[in-house]
Amino acid sequence: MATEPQVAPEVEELEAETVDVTARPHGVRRFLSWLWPKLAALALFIGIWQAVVWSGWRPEHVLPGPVPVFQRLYEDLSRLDFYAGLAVTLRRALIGYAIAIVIGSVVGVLVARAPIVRKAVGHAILGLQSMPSITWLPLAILLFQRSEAAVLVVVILGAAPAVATGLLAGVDQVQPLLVRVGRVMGARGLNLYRHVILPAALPGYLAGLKQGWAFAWRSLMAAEIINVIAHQPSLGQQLQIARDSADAQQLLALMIVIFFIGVTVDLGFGFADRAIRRRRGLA
Amino acid sequence: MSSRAVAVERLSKTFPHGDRDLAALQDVSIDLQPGEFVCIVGASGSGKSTLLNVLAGLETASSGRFEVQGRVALMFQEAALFPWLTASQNVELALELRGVKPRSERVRQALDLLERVHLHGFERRRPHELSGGMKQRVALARALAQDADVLLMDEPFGSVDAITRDLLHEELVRLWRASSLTILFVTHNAREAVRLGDRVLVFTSRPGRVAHEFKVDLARPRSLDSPELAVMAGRITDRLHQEMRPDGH
Repeated sequence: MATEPQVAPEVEELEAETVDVTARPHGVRRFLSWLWPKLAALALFIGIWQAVVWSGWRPEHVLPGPVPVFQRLYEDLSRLDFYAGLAVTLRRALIGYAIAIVIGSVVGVLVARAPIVRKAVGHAILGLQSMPSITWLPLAILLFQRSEAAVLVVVILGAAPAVATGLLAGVDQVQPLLVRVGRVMGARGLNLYRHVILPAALPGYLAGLKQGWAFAWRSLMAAEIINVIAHQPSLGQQLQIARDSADAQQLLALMIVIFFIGVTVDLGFGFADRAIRRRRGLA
Repeated sequence: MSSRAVAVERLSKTFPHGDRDLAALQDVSIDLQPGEFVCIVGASGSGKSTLLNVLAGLETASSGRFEVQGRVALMFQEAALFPWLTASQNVELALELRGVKPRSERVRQALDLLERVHLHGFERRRPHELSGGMKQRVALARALAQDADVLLMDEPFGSVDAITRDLLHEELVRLWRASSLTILFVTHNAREAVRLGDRVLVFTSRPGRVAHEFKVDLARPRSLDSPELAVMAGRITDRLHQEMRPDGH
């Protein structure tokens, strides 16, 4: 370091400290050590499932074993109309979730900014969040008939309160000192939100987005099972049809698909959360 | 008298505390000449920080007047860097809020400022990857990026170790002498005040008032270990004790 007299003297010490941080396990090994407990749990679950089927607790046409179910899943995955149904469900989920993010974010910022709005609707938002959003479906059907709009209403009312609550919690937890620094630097009003408060609130906001997605997904499934719309073979609707025709293999195959989508999205949120925390030195 | 960089006249600030008001500042009057380096020494809770907050516009005074010529920057005891931005981006944000355009110009100036605080090569580190002293260097670069005429410093080196603090003192004085900055520096450490200031103001506690003023006419550069500095700091500490005694000791 003697060639760099420009650099602050305490720098040398720091460079020495950070050396072994890079000595992380190799990528593939890290992936495997992340993967194998999950595979083990999955194997255990399938083993128990198979054991219950073999015990003869229920006849096989009511509770089929893993082998026929996975065979059925494989057949489904090679059928075109299965993807049509999947597309309908995912489209509803994404549109509903996107609208919920916009509404939840706007409401969250309004509540955070204006004490009077917080006093007025702060508790209402929490109440809305603890209310199963499927209870809105009968009203939505009265208002919009059996239409896409009725399904979206349920999804939005399920997800938006969680997004708003997450953003609000994030904003409330912003260090006051950072806000003061921003103000001293000349950031006021919208600029203060854009440059300081919203970036600082990002971890809380992300937690709200994640929870909002979970609410959106389960609200959508409930709505699709109840609110069957003609010519829209959504996942929830196929689930209902499988029950009506006592097709247990199809029912379980669909449930695996629904579970898999939930897990995948959750993994995505997990990665985003860890990336943000690592950048900020929180993990 | 518009030639003064900072003019504070009979400034008072009270905070509501339970059912009565607590006076944090009482009739504080201070003048700073352009380019002057003035230190305020006082015990914790003597309203020193309140004074800086009022001058920076973060709080309003209860009575009295003050005038600051030009732009004001404020540095806190914690570096308070934005953890989601790199060292360079923290400085760039200050430039952006000041209206420096375009982005390439901000990047260039940020690089230059970080080099001036000896952080060349650390532009892309995030705050958690920097030591306490280095964070304060970034905070200093960020304050300089605001192109302020008056720099207010609220115990900025209070939480770094003694050796690093000494280095930072040296650099602060170097940067100050190379510029036309007026600095108002708050500390509870008499030696630090004598090391840095042209003048040292002793603050009383509850309510904060200027009790005494010391003129520091020691030649620069000053060393913390010089006997003259120690003698002067000793006198200031004595004075501080004297001010604190009637108040609850």
